[in-house]
Amino acid sequence: MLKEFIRLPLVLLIICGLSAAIVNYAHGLTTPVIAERRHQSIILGYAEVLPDAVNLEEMPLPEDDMITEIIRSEKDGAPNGYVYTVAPDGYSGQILLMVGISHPQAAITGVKILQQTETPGLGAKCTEPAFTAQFTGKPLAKPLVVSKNAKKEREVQAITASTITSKAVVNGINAARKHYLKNYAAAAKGGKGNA
Amino acid sequence: MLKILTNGIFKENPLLVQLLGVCPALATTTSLNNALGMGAAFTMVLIFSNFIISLIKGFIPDNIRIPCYIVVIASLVTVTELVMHAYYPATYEALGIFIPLIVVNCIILGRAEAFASKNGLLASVLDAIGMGLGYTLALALIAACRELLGSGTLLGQPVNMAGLPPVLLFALPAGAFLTMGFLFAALNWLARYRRA
Amino acid sequence: MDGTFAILFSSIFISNIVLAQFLGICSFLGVSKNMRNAAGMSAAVTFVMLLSALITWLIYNYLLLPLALDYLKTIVFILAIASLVQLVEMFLKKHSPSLYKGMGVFLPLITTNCAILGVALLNIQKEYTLWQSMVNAAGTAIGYTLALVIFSCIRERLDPAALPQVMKDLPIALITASCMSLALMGLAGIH
Repeated sequence: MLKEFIRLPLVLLIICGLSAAIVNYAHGLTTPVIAERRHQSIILGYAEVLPDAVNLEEMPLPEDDMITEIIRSEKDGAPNGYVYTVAPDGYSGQILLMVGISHPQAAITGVKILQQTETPGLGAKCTEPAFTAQFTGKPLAKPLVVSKNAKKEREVQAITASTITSKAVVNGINAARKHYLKNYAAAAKGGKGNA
Repeated sequence: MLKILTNGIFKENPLLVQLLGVCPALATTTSLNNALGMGAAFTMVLIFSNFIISLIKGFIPDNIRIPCYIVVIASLVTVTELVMHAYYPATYEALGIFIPLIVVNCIILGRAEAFASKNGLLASVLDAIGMGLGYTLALALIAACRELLGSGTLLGQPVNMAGLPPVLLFALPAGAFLTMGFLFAALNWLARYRRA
Repeated sequence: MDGTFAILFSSIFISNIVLAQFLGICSFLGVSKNMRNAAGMSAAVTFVMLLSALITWLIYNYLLLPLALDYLKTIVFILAIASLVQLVEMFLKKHSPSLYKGMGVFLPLITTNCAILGVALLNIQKEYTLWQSMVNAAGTAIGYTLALVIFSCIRERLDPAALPQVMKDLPIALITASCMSLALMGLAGIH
């Protein structure tokens, strides 16, 4: 009886210990790879949404939980663009996306969805070029709006049956637009930007 | 030996015959790609868990065997999760919470209890391969139907459906239940047809 | 109380654990043949889900995070849930035989019910506070109960229906679930 009392916990302890050792080893092995991949995908993301991205520098964040990162790109001593990372609330959780803005033209140079948990086959289509490519080249003079039948320049064609997701992406871009016009465009154009 | 292998694929197919592991079969079958990723992760865990449990079966006292199995399986799942996160990030993101949930997939604990704890190493590994393949094939079958009907593609490649537009319903949760309902009806019909 | 109602509504209806997130399907199909079993299972799930959400949240935020062991969460959570179920079973057997009679048989099944582990993991993934986690767990449990009880009522009625032999039982049950899932989609616009 006493023997059992010692044997049972001992066996359990050995198995737990061995398992922990293996998991710990795998964790040590994979952590640098995961970090490296994440880093790479972010760097690639900058280049994708802002093709002229060079000399990147992180900018201070506003007190707004929608914008999670602002990167300034500088060429020949003057900023030539900004990359905003924004996290609007989608249909089922946050969507993380990058918006590239050319400076001083104030136009969208690209949009990339970094992370989303939207419904597959519906909102998840927001990652496809069919949706994201339409933003490229849009000017930021007016806020973007979602439309089911986009014709005007400021209108964005919604993903079929996923208006909430489309609106979320556009909300994120508009947050970046507002911040850009208020903080950076004004400095270049002498206070013309009205957010 | 061969019989152990084919057993899991046809006669005792974990999903289609034993009706185990239904949750991932509904959730990860929106595309064939996801289903194959899920099947691969599941098969890896099953092979290793059957192997390890068959290896240590003499060492584990009978009355604490279930907690021991759970620890082994949970560790294997965590390792699989880490490896997928590092090397297959796209699949990892797509499958999300269903990778850690392999832990509570009844098939794995079921095979440990019903097969690996009573059989030798080689037989246990063969059993795991058979069950894993059977599960993966079943997932792939459902996913192929759903992807073809729901988005008009297979493995992401557009398929010519004779001009029929894709039916969005099949990509939605409701479509998962519907596809599986008709699949089981078809299997019932097939079984009756063969008996007659 | 930021977004309490939104979390509650979403976890009951829009992302219903069974019909939209596909967790806990095994028990959903297994015990739904009659309403009595469905109610017993729901009670057991509700009870364990709330307790396990509380415990796993505390373990994660006060033990795993400070020790930088968050990658062990799957292992630790499943062990915590398994031990919790054992303790609840022993406690009920001793102190409340009537309650044990009602839901005791379902308790051992709960360890492998993916809805329980699923909610614990989702609470961490969504970075909920303790309050939000509890609201989410409560909402999920209500959603589970709702789906299971309605489903079992429909199945009871379907039983005597004159269906083609091949559609009986499981196929028609899954098609019924499909219709219920579709009905919940109608609420998706409310956000």
